[in-house]
Amino acid sequence: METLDKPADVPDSVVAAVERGDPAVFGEIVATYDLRLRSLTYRLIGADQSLQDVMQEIYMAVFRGLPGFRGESGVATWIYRVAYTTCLHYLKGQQRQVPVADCSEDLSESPDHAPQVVLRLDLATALAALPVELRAVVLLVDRDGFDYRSAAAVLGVPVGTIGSRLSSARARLRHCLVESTAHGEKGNGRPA
Amino acid sequence: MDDQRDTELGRALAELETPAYDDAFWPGIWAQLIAESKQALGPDDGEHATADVKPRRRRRRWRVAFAGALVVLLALVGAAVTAVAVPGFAQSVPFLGRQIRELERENRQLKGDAQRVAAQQQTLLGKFAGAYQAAFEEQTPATALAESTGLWPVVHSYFTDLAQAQVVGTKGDNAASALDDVIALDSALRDRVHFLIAGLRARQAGLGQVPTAATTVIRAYSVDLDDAGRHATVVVWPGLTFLTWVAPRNGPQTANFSLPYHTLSLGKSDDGQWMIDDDVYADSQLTALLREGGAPAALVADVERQQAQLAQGTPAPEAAVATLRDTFDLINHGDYDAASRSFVGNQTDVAASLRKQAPSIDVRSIASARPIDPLPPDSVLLQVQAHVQFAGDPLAGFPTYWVMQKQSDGSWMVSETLSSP
Repeated sequence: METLDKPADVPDSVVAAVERGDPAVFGEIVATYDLRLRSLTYRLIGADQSLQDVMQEIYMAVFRGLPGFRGESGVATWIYRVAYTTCLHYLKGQQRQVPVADCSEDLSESPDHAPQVVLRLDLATALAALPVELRAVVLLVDRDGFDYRSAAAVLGVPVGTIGSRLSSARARLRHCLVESTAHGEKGNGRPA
Repeated sequence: MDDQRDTELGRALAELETPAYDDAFWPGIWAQLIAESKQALGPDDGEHATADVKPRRRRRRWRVAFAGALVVLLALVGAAVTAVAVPGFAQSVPFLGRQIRELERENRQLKGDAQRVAAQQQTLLGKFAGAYQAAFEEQTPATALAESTGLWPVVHSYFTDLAQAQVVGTKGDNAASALDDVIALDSALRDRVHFLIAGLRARQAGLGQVPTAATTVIRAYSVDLDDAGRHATVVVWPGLTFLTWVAPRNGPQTANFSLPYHTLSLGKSDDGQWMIDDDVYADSQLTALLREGGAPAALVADVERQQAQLAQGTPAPEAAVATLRDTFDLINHGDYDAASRSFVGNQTDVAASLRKQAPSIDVRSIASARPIDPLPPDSVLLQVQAHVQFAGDPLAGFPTYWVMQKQSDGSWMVSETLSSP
């Protein structure tokens, strides 16, 4: 398992090559974006078994799309857009959107977790409980640092929608985390 | 709008774990890339089983894409050599994993021995170039014709030696000498090539780079033989030239270059041996390199004139422009089936793509453009300036450059679209 430290800066050479429509940049895209795209895809589709299939579809779509890329959007916006639409297509095919759990899952059954691990599990569970559109917006803006306009382009929605979805996503994440924490404290309570 | 980002939440989200791929993932991607590249050759390759095989840009771009992926793989292997871990990527390629682990182990022993690391890179370079060569130089009609007529070994040696001649030391010197075995004794090319090599070496020395390995992969795109079988013109694309060098501060480096098309003229000597008489290609650096290599002014002037002619491009025939305008009109009227009949190749796919994108094209100008790489004699490159809106896929791209190809009946068709010349 890998963790995402921070969004890597996109090398200028990659941006320039993509904007030239130079497909030779494909390999650099893989090296630059793989962890971020994989993480986004995993959180959107939430299925280990299918992650690789979906990632393969994403990369092949990027590969095929490179010669036609016109630079009307940013490089990252375009690649994320490909990833997001591929995930949506997959979810539509699976006829499901929320793959994991709800806020009340009893995390206290797992003993001796370090607090940080428990927090991550809580956040992962809370995130998975969000509708895919809300998950996507909070990942794009809060995790990967997209501005509203770029996030809107990735998701194919008006810019104003980003703000409202973001508020909703953050509120629901906080609600889940608070509820989960309370539940966890209750479950871990020692006898008086 | 960055100030509306919840950075604390973002950090927590970034710390969530992401599963790694299993070992089969990256080989699967490479296999798909190779399959896509082969598919991009198109089912019509057999149609070109004549001496006149047209360069196909789309094919080239797919090849380059595969090459790009391969080069990054090379770079990552190089990174592994210098003990920079690339989690979940290089390690997940089974056929490389063993080599990488071995190199990492050796790297720990080497403790910065740049020359030995460079040697390791050269070995890998050779292996990858060989693998790429096999995929790239697959049997095309032009290659088959070049082989059957005995042209191919000469052409192949010329490009291989030209690349290796850049390497310092005996290996490079031997390659430079070997060029004399394939270039006609009385040709102007013989001197020119040696001045070019001297120029390349001088430039690399100026940059403090010491080339230690080089190889190139080439592909024949057309072969024209005269009736007597004594003279031939072969159009060759050196798809990728790999070069490894040792930089003073950064140690071993690997780079690749995609070179322009070369048009070779060959003649058969009395003893039946093909020799290269001339090599024409557009290269903005050629005259400068010749000067740096000490070429006499007259030779440089000749090459300068040749480059100026190559740079002029081909004027746009009115009929080609008219065909393109008619095609855009049909697209604007939503008659995608009719519009697709202006395209060479799979017109069903073209119509489906147009239908999906549903573009509205407001043409501002159509003019001749100068291609970076030479086009076949019966093709022209047109640059289209237009305002385009997509009623269908909003992220669809509209190509700026359109290659028009003259058909045997005198009509013009779109053979390719490009985003850069």
